[in-house]
Amino acid sequence: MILRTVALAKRYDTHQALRDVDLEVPEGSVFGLVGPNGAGKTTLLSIIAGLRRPSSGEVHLDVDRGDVAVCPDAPEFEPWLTAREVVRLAGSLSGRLPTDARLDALLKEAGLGAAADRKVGGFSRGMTQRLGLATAVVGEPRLVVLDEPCAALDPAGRVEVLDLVARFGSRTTVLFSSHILADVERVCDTVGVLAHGRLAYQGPLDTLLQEHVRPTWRIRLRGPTAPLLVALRATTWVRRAEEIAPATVEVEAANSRAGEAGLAAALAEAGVPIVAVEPVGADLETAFLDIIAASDASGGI
Amino acid sequence: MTLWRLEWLRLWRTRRVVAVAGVFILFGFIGPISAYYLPRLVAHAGDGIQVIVPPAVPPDGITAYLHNSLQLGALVAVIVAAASLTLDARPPLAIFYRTRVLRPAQLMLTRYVPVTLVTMAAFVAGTMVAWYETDVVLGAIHPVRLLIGVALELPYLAFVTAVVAGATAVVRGTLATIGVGLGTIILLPIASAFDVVARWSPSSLADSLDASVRGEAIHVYSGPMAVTLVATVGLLALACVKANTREL
Repeated sequence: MILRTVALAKRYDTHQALRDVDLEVPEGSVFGLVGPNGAGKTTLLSIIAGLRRPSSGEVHLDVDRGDVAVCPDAPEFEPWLTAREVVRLAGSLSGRLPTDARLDALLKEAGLGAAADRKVGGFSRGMTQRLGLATAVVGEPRLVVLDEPCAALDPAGRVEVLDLVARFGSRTTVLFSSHILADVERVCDTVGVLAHGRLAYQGPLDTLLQEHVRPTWRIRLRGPTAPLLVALRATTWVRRAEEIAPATVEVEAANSRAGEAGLAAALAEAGVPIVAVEPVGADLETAFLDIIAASDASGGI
Repeated sequence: MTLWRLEWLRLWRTRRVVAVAGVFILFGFIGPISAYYLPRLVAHAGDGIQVIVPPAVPPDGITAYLHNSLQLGALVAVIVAAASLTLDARPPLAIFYRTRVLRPAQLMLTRYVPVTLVTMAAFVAGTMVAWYETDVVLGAIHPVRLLIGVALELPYLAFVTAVVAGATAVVRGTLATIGVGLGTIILLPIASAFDVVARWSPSSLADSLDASVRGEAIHVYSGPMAVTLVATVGLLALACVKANTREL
């Protein structure tokens, strides 16, 4: 693990922002920290970055503090510096002064090659965000912490930044927070779900999705759906059966085994022409909502 | 790019160096001339009342420069220093710097030194202009007395910017820092109305150049000088400790 927190807690006056957070970030991973607004993501990242102190608990970094780079959700730079000067300054402060060739390559990779010698005061939000990512990686850190890197970006800007994160993630460990689940699903291989200041889940994204796959199938028919719906609703293993679109039925079983055993028989009994039967995969949103609901039910607040 | 070069670029590209130097040099030109013409202006301003002002003597040129420049010049110096020294006024920018240095106090010192040196250099430049003008329109000033006076004034200017650094330990925003800094700089001369305070107050050093060029005793400034040096170091230490321990 490149980063580990032990029973991390943070209290602001009467508000408990973090409680007993045991985060483990594997080296080489792109770790997505997701959670609703106010879940404690920024507080957790700030403590990891050394910008705030925990009320209790510990942060264990397997790297020097100088090998950790941080980029906030809305990075700012001196408006009177050029992009090239900003990246050079970041590298110099990190103790790894980049060569001109490396500077050019990095700025080009961040899509700022043409704007390298422009003052950053005139940069758009997306350009500033990409510059922030370039300043984060110029020192070749072993851990990059990004707080909501796509917040407030337009769709095109989000895609550009996510592509950069994915590219940088192939060279170093990235820990990034977001409340945009599609972004996390797109670039992360490991996720942590923070709810009400508690780490409700952490682990590989694939495992999370598999754990939250519901025994649900989508059946496309050629013809009316009514006979199939009647046949399905007459069984004991069907929890839900409904027409979700013309000639398309979605059926949810009480459990996978019952569904796998009973679905074929129900289809045969209905006697309707079938175009396709496909399982409905889980997405991060489904998993996330399940985890948040479970957290709420257990009195997370 | 080092932090030292960054701070020089900050002062140059934001034209802050021009603002500070401009104020002192402008009053360097205006002070001696206003002292020269003051008796005539006053004589013509009387509406049926005859006001007799003694003819200006050479030290009056330096006095006029000093009184004007240390008021407006200190104001500009406080504003420029606050703009540089408020490390945490803009949190995203603070994150950029704080996560890249070993200790944030390093940022405080590399910002304090250039802005203080620029203020000092501007004051010296303005004094040189005032000296030349005084020599032309009012008469000669003893150069050694002038230099001793300048040497006594410089620690006061370092104290002024240190007050701003100290203010950042109390407040975060630039405007609030300017307010606390200016409030302190203004309160000190008021408190110096009491002799016991005046004997030790750093603000007493503001008159040292005037006293020196008039040939008055300067040993009376040893107390304020000692307090100024100690207070400057203390305020900087406070600012550094707070910069190191403050949470964003």
